[in-house]
Amino acid sequence: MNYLIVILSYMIKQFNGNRTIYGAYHILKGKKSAQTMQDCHLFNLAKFFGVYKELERDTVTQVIKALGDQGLIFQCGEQRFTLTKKGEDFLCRKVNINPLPRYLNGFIYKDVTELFWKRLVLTTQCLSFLKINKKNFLPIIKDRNTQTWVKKYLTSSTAKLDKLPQDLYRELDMVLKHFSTKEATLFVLRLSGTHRIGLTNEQVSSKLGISPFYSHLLYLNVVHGMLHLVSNKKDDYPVLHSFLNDAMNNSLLTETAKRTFHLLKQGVSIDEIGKMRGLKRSTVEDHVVEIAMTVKSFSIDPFVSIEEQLTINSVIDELKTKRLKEIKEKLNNNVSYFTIRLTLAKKEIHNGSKENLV
Amino acid sequence: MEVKKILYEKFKLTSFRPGQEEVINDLLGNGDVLAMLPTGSGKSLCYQLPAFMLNGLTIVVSPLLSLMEDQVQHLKSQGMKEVVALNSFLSNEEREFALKELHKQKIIYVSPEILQSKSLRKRLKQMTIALFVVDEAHCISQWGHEFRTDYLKLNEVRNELGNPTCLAITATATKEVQQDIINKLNLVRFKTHIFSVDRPNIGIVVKECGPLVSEKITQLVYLVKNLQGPGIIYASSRKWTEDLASILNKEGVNGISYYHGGMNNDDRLLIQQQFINNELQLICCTSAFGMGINKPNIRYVIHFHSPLQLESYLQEIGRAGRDRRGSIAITLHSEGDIPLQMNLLTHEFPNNEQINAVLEFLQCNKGFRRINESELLKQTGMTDVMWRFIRFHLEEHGVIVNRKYHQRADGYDHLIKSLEDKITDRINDKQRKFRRFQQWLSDHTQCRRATILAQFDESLIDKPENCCDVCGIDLNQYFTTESTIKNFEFQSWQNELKKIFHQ
Repeated sequence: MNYLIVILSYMIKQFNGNRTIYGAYHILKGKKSAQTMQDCHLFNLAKFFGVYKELERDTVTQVIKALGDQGLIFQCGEQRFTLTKKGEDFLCRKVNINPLPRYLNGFIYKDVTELFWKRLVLTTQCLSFLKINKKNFLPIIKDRNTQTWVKKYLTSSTAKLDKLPQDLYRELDMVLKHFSTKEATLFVLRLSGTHRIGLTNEQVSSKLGISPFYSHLLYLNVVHGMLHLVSNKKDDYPVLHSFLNDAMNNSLLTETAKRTFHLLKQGVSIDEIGKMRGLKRSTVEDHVVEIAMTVKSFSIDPFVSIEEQLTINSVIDELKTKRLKEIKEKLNNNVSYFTIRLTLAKKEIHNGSKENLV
Repeated sequence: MEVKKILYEKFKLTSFRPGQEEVINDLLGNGDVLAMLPTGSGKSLCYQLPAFMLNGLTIVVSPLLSLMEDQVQHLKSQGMKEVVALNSFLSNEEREFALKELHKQKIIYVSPEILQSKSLRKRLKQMTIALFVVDEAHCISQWGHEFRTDYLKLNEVRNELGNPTCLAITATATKEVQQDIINKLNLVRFKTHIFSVDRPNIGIVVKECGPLVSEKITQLVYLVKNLQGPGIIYASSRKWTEDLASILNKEGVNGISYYHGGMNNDDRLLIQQQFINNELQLICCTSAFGMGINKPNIRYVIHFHSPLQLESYLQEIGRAGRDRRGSIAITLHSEGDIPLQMNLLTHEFPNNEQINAVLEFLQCNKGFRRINESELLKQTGMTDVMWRFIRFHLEEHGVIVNRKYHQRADGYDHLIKSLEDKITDRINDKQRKFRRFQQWLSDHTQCRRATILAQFDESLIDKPENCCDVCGIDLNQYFTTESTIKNFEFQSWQNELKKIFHQ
């Protein structure tokens, strides 16, 4: 909760009273709704998208109360706040001691993070054991997909098993030099080898004397930074890069939206998808919006006629708003929310919030 | 001789533990077997060894996902790769792949639910089935402590597969439950191998504490600071496991962590492995911890909160002393815990509102081909155990067939009433067991070991020297003499990275 106070103060500052505190909550949770994803870009908070999936509403309420009690925030509307002068000073001081993680980018890396980390952890453990010719050990990652991937990777011809431990060691040693000692330590302690099992986030945080949330953010910072460095310099990090090859594709989509996307591509209609997958129509519609926001090549024309798109776009430009309700009312409620959301999503992705594209 | 050879080649063992050889020989001679072997006596070897000797596939029905996966990982890590676990958590692709490759396997672990899958049964019917193993067989009986409705359908499956040789195996089953297993699995000519539930190397102690929690905590701190580890502390809630770990930590106890079902999978596995590897010496946990964990040198089990019934208690203390060296089980008993525990009992079952919520959900979503179970759990806030309970009864009444909902014309009042009656029965039964166990805890006049055995219609023949607090036990014998925890020295991340990759 310690560092959460800092992050939430920062988000309040960015919102500057334009969004409720639950807008911040949804960003931290990584909610894939049109509103939340748009807020990320509007207020420059994309780095925090989905970095705290376990966050609970109650915790947010407690933090807000604490901030209010200390006079750090000022309430300017229903669940809306701005920072007071004292709050600005507080944030400034805190960020000086424990800076906001610099490479953090939840919006781009949210879904790749876990996959990359699991592959890295399991490959590391396997190599540590294989290096001293031990073949029988309990894998530290149970997840079947990861196990299958690592097994394939280690037995494929591209990976030269005798050289791999050294190569991966060198790449990690090199890439970790981009981070602070604290960050590199934290990262290495979470890996497992023959001499010890990796530590959990909580164990690492108490070892380093920082709050669990901050150490979680620093860990994400290292992973996101690695992903950034590795994908920009493939040639320097061939091994680490090979952990990613199939992962960046469509990685921004949730698993369930991917399945819907797959069916859409086969020409299955929204209603049929709902029936096949046992989902409500509105859920499938959410997937379609998600896909439209993420996949640039996805055409919304089958769902919204060109005419409708033009009308909606002109209303958006005229009203200068992104609020669905206002747009719908202006059009005399003749269009559905789904239609407006899709059109908005397409407009956004074309206006090219750069970060949106991998 | 052949058996011993395989024992060594496959399992790197040179001798059997009591009971194993008898069960194995009967199974190899194609006889059905009902076996009860105490926890920690190597039950799984009883079917794993024959599985690798017999021609055909061995099916092992197991109630817990994590247990299955642990067993599979364990066998694989020992070099036995022809093993797979099939459960509802596999994706369709994975399941199809597993089915295609089934002929290459020697053992498949299955959940009772997945055995209801038509495609799996069709595939199994084409194969030679060497053994049909019902693990944790007490789950078939509603008198057992972990009744699982899906177990009741196992006999039908076995019939369909041409009645392969059957092993029903459990660690704790009273006479009543044993008879129920025999009936429900329709065993006719079979051998029984019932071994005593007694674990003579585990001393049994109940410490009466006052109603104040602080008194219990003082006791706990004292015990943990003195007892020889490694140890396990059981508590009744997630919150308590975390609080106890932090209290003990502040008291200067190191190498301690908590463990509960609310943690993510990766962290749970890390903690579990650290404990097994002696990098931790103490775990504060809920009953979620311990299933399928093979750690021979656990020296003590402390119950900060007592379990709700004797069978769970035996299972949990049975994790101590698998190396057959002296170990101790201490329960901190307090009358003050009783109201909360009574409450816990009823919360295992769905209440009125939840039953109505389920029926409403089914009604709202009646158009779907299959019931979306994860969505149902989310919307009604039930646990999967509760849902399975309701589902079973709805299936009995034909409201659910093949995972599809069939609306009834005549309304649901009758159905709801019968479901409520069933639940009341089950709660009454659990309460009866709870009171009986409470009686055992507060009785300071009779030998605890003898009274446990009496509940299983056994009598105590060889009383161990360190029997129980009633017979007299000197705790000093269990106090620390050696350090069991591996400390690792951290120099720098660069050094640590070198160590990991042996550079």
